[in-house]
Amino acid sequence: MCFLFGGLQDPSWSQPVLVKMGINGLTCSACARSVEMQIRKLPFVRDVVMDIAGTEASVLIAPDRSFLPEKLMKAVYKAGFSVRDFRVRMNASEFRVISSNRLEWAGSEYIILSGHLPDGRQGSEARIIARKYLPESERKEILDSYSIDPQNRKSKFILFL
Amino acid sequence: MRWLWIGCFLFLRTALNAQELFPLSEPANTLPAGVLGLRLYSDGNYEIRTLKWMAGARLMYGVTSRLSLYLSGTASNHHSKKLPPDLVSHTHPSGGSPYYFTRQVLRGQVYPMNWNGFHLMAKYRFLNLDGKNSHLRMALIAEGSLVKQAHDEAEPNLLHDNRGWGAGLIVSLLQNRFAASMTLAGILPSDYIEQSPDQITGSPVERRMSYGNGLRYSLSLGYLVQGNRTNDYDEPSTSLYLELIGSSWGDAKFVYDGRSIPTENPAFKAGYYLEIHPGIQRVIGSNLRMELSVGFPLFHRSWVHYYPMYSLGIQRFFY
Repeated sequence: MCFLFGGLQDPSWSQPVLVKMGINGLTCSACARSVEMQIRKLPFVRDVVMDIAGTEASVLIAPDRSFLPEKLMKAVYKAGFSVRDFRVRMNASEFRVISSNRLEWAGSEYIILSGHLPDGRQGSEARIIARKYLPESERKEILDSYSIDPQNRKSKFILFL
Repeated sequence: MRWLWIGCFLFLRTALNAQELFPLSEPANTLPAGVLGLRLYSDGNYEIRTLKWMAGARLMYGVTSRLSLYLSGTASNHHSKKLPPDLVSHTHPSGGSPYYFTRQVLRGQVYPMNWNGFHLMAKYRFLNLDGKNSHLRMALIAEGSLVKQAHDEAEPNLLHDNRGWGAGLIVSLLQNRFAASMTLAGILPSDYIEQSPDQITGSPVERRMSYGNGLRYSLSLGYLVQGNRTNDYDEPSTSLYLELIGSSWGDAKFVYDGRSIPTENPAFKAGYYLEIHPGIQRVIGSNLRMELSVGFPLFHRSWVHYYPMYSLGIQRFFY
């Protein structure tokens, strides 16, 4: 864990992305190891730390590799588990603003649900609200609370925290 | 027996930290996609004074996150190469035509170790209701075996006694780290056929065993007693298990040279049993599993093994 957070504070290389995933169904160290080994197979993953008690994975993304969040999410499903929560620490240089409520990040377009966009090197934590990135019941609940039109619900959303 | 029930009750009440890596039963969980596993296992019991034992190896592979395949090969000293030559006896009542019948059950026979054959099982996890500290998972299993053993008892077992097919359902529940798994599966054993010389004429005749369909059922519970409390994979863990395993089956028929032979042998009759298998498991490095369990009868008894029934297993995944 020290390596992960130590890396984020190191100004000598471009800031890597830190993803935290809450994973449902993790009940033992063997389960956690299965998830970790699936995540480690991804070429853009620099390091992984599993928190068995908190049923969470902290994933450090290599800054020089193209990062696809879908592949990270799918690695959890490939191990036989599901994602409860997908949070990412990002700064302004990592996404492109398309319009007042849309941005492009890691190869996908996201609708901004709420929160302030990060600026400069000051990172912000964001939560991805999209299918398979959280339980379906919770996704519906969040989108209901923002009165999202049913036709737009297939889009990916982002919540800055 | 009373103390056994009290022990079971206390176990159920206190099983708050559970493991679902059951030594004898398969949970509804599947292997991670693309992961290979190897399991070596053995079981044995003393049939009177003869040690009857089976040894097997199982290769496991996660085809997808929901579909896993399990290929087993086993060897045992449970059977002779052919059905016992004296399986059919005859008399000449009142000096008339011979009356054939199957002989009484024989126990404690010494047989050599034989290769049993292969068993393939596919497990498809079709339901996954996951929470942070809970899940309900259900899986369908389909199994087939290419076992050619001279199995002279009605009780079917696709893993090391019978050729045939099977299918079933596994339901695994984990709630606040209380784990339980139930299995119900049907067994459709195929006939065993051999050509053997007739005891009177010496000419070859067809001897066929037709087995009744069977059911196997289990309820497994696990209790983590040590380990898995830190994020260190090298921390070993120890779990205790209690598995209730049973089976029921129909009558077997013996056909001798095209004639159905009336049976005097209770091993050919329909039956059922339920066993209890307490077990202990040690997991090292979060990946190497070693387990030992001992089975005892609860209701009725198995025809194919005696008690206590010892089971050993060691298992590892290759990521």
